[in-house]
Amino acid sequence: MSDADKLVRIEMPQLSSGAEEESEGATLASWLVAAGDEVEQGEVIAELETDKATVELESPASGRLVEIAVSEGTEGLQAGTLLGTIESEGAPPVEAPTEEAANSAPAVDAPVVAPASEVSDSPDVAPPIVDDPAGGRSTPLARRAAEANAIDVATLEGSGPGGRVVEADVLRAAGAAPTESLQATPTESLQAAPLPEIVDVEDGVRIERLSGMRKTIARRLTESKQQVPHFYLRSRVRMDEAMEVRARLNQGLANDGAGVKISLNDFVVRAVAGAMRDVPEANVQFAEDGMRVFDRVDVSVAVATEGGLITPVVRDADRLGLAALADAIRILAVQARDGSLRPEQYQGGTVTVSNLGMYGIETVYPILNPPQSCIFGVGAAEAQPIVRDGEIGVGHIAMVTLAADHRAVDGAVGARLLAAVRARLEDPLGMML
Amino acid sequence: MSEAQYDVVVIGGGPGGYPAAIRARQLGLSVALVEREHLGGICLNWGCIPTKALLRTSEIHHLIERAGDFGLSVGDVSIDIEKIVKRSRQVSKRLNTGVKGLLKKNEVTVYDGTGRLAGAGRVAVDAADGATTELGAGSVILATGARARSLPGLEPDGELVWSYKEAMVPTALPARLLVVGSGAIGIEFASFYNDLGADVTVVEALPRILPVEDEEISGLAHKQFEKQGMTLHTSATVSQLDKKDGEVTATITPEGGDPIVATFDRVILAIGIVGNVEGLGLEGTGVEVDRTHIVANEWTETGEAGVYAIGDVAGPPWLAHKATHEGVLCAERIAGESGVHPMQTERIPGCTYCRPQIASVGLSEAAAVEAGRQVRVGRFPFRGNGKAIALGEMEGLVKTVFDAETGELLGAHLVGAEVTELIQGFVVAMNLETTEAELMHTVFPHPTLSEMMHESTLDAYGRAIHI
Repeated sequence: MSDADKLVRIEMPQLSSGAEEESEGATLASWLVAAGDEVEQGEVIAELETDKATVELESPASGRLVEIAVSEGTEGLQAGTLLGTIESEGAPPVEAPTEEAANSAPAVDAPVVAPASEVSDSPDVAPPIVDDPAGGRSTPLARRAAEANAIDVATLEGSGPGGRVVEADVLRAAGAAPTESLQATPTESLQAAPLPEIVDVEDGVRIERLSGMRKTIARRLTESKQQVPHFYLRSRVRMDEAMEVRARLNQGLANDGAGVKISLNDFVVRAVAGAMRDVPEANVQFAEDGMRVFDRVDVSVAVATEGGLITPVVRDADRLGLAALADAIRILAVQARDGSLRPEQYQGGTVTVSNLGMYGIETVYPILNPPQSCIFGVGAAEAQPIVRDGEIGVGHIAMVTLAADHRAVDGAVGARLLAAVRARLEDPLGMML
Repeated sequence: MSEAQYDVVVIGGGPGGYPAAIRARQLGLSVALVEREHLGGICLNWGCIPTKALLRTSEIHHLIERAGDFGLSVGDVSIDIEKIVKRSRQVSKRLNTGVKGLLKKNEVTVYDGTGRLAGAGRVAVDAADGATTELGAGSVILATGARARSLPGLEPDGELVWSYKEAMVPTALPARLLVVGSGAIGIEFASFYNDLGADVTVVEALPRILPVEDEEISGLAHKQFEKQGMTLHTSATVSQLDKKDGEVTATITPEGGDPIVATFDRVILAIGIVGNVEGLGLEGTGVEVDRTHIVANEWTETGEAGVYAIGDVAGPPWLAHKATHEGVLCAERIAGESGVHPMQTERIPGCTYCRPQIASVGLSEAAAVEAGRQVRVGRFPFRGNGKAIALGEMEGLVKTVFDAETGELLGAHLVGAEVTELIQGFVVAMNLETTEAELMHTVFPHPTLSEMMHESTLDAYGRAIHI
């Protein structure tokens, strides 16, 4: 066998949908080829039966079917079970979950494993082992984290023994989840930015090495902008009530000697959290295999740091009182700026709030924070002419923009969501209930 | 006389110092080690090793007492305390000689005496005869260890009130023994003396014994010790020790309760340790000391360039294997090796060799929850395991804590026979960043106690087969 030949596993695919109980397995109804036959990648080589349907099994590679491991009529086959082996020639097949790296010797003793399927939420089904195609270059935990964050572990540099990719490496790559390219030069950090490594200097142009965070921001935002059908809705929100309530609350807190101060952004986050409850159809995320519907509201709050934008998450933001919310956000922002956020603090989130009002920006057009389907951009609350009871007066108006993923959230749902945010912000006392 | 110059001078030859010295030699550095009392330090001579030898005797005594259960009839058992102690001293001596041999083989120059910093790049060695030798040192590693702590009113006197040292070389078995402090040291002595027939009382100031262990494990151990006849007082302090006629009357005050006065033949104090930071010449240097311990970062560096601190003197966890690991990493750091990783304290196991044994690594269930993790907890009792039943060791638990979202093994907490040998499987798995899936897919041999590690993992996911 030449170096170019590899043994490719034919595995039972995941046939049941994710939400079901542990599957009773499928049956290999019939083989359409025999051992020794040449097969083409994509060619139907067997028929599988579940209790619901008959499914065709396509060959994962081109080559010679050298071994049939499961005979016709075998029942109760679980996802990942080895059905047969193909000796493939030359170029590796395009998508084979258990493929070895191109130049290594075939490693056929991989454990019985499901192809990289989604992590099941069912408490009785343990998530599968995710195979390491590069054998030993990453730890099991790292591979699982990579799965969960849709990162290719092979692209990462590992900090573990022998350059192994460990969980921390994956989370670092996944964690910097910025939300817009409109970010102003970060001015809020009090620390001196560490000098980036200079790679080259040409005529008046300094080339700086891209940090891991910057690379991640670039990759994720490009993906988001290119692949997600964004649509934008905008609403002018009267902030006077909120500003007044805020001033009164802060006075009360100061009188009590409490260390916390509530900002207008805290009101916005609270309103967004409540609105996600009002319009649960917006608390969803699109995925190819099924819409993710969330029953909790976790709000990602955009924080500018010297390295880039990061979005720590306030869990169950709709259940926190305003003071508790303000405190939680303040602490997360401090941790974000000194780089001490733990991965579980910036992962997840079901909606993002990005407030650039402090820079005097009128309208923010944000980019979605994948895989979330909604993001709110908030501009400055500025004194403007308004109409009240038929008369012209002065009010403080902030422009609140919703950017939404049209695959998950339609126009009407988005509109109802934005309207709910506006209603809550314009009647802040109603939010206290 | 020209002064000797070394790349590294290690002050202290215990489980931190001597591995550091050997590793530095392996990396081609010239090394001197200064030791004032005994190579191998406390661990080898007056700690870990001799106590394990003693506990082996008490374990055998316990088994002999149960011989009838196993179909054996044994006549009158007599206890020769002198011989028991002698054996433990022989074990120590053998290892002590071994360390000497290792240092010689690796060409480490050993200086007998007390070492101290004597200016930048210099170490002074004060020998017992009063002579002082000065050495030039490129780097200095402080590995001077720690000693037993005393509190006012609770000081060892070498006769009736013992520190760990006297407790290790008794000339007679005390009939009534008071142990103050229920950390690993106190509990191991309590277990040893209890199994040899002493009437043992343990007093602990915190709300539970073995306070660094997972709550559930402390609780199970507590029950077992009570069943074995020990008296345990938690949330209690000993306020007074009155010595008279070869006896000690102690006043034990439980929190919010009435003081209990009881009389004992001997008292063992095991109320913590303090680092040996005195007389090291630290004054005027950048080396900081915080509550008797030298402040060192994750690379064992102190505030003074070229001076490192490892082991007990550098703070918790006060474990010999932590000292050894730090010593190796320090040597590698000094030698400029690449790829040196700082230790992750949550992956350092802790073992207590009482009966039943206790072993743990990582976060306790409570600590994991407090850290904001969603957890899945698995439990498997000894009485569900075939080997445990066959051995007649039915009391024990293997508890595992996983992160519910990622499957990361956050902690493992075990109590029962032989668990100190089982824990390494979990430690290795943690270092390889296992998830529960790999542990589930591992085939553990049957029949062994180690199968409980597998079943505990399965239990965390509702899939245990044997309970």
